[in-house]
Amino acid sequence: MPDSSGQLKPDKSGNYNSMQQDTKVTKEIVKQHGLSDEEYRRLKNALGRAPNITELGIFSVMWSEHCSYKSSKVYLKKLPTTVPFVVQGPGENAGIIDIGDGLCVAFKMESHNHPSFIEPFQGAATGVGGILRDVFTMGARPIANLNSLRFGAVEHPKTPYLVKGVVAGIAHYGNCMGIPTTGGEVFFDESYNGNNLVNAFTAGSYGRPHRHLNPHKSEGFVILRGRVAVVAFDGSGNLDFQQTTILEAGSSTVGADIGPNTWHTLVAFQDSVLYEVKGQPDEGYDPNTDKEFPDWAPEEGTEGAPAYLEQLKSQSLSRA
Amino acid sequence: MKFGIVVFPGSNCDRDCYNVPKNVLGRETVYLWHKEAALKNAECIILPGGFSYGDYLRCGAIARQSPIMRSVIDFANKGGLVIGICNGFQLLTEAGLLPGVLMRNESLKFICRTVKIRVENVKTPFTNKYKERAVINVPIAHGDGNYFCDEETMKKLKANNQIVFTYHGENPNGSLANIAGIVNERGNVLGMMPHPERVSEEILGGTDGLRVFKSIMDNM
Repeated sequence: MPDSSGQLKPDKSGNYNSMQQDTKVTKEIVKQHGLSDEEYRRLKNALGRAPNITELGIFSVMWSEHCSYKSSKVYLKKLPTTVPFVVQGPGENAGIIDIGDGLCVAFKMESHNHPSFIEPFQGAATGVGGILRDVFTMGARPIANLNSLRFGAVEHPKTPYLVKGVVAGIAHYGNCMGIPTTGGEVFFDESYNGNNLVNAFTAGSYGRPHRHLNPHKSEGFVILRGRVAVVAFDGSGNLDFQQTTILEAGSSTVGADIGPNTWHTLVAFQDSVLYEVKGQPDEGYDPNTDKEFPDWAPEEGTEGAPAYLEQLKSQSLSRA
Repeated sequence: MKFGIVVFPGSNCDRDCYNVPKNVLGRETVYLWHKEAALKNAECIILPGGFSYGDYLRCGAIARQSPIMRSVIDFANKGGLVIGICNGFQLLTEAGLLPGVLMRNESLKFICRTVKIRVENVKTPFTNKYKERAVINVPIAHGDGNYFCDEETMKKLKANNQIVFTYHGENPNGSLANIAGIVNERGNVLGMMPHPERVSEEILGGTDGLRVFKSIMDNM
């Protein structure tokens, strides 16, 4: 830690530690950082020891899809990069090709899907900003922007909001920098509806109460068919009646929100279909790190589950 | 006969404004860095479009405090020719060289397209090469171009024939009296939201803006 003069002092072993190195790196913390078991093994092999909390943080960022292209690299590698007119191939901020007459073109392309889904204006704007930076750090002067956009179905309720924000973000950043957007393409397809999931529930099914990690996030539910209780709990497993809601298709109550960091589950009274809306996990979806389960609720498929489910049904109905 | 183009951090039309007098009209043209006070004997100062100081606080509010602007204000008060385009217009109102303010567009949206404007006054040093009430096509690209002033000021603008350009047909931003550009009372300072420097070469889609620069040269 820095001392009162603001200077960093080494600890007993001579290391300069500006962060809280005392935090023990547990299996759980590794999971929270989004590293798979295999990745963590690789990290330990590379270091020759277990990482401290700072090192773990660095690796979790640098080995993310966004930074390392760990799952798309295999496809990107197939692109030709060594023909004679390639002046700068992969590995620098932007690629450069020779177009003859002593002129070169530097160009960059980047996806900003998830940031734009979460905050369309800023997400799209920083996408433009990132590639402009990558071009001018190569010593070139940006002259034109293009964009290639994919949105969910036109009639999807979130689509107009996303389109508006993304277009405004691209226009704003390009205009501030004085770089014209000279063209683009746009497609609308329901496969891009994004992070909305349609969950089908069968009456009698039991989902163990949980809360979401990576990051803690809120969730919204809209019922399309049937009748479902959205049940919220306090830390010790008692029903939180303030947040517990029974949703019934066609009734006056069809939607409910669950705040971040809230223990919750769904209880279906009959065959039901509902829309679930929630944010993307920070580091891509990993079933091991997506949820946290409390010890006061039985695991799915165990002996105590059916009785517990019946108890939840009657408790949530008593509220209604 | 020399043009001076002021460059602020965030200016982004400075090169276009330099290009027209220098390359299209072949006149001596220099850049004037915002931190310097010297106008390098320029006879016409252009405040270009862009986002001086990132538009922080208000458009033009910080640029107005820069050393070069002290010289520009002195120069204008002595009758020197000054033209502010887009962010330059905003800056001129902030500097008190032109009356009124430029508010957020009525639609609250950034607008980028070519519009028709009418030349309302051809007896200015910036418009004497245009025909009376000529309608010309000039692009706009702004979020804050909605001209506003109090009634008293509007009376003066009209009485002194200070309204130089108006939007013809549709008013894109909600400006009072369809104002697209005005001069000061003395007639030596012009502010306009449309970009004449972007339509001064046939290869770039038109030459309707070139007469602004030719008019200036005629005075110099």
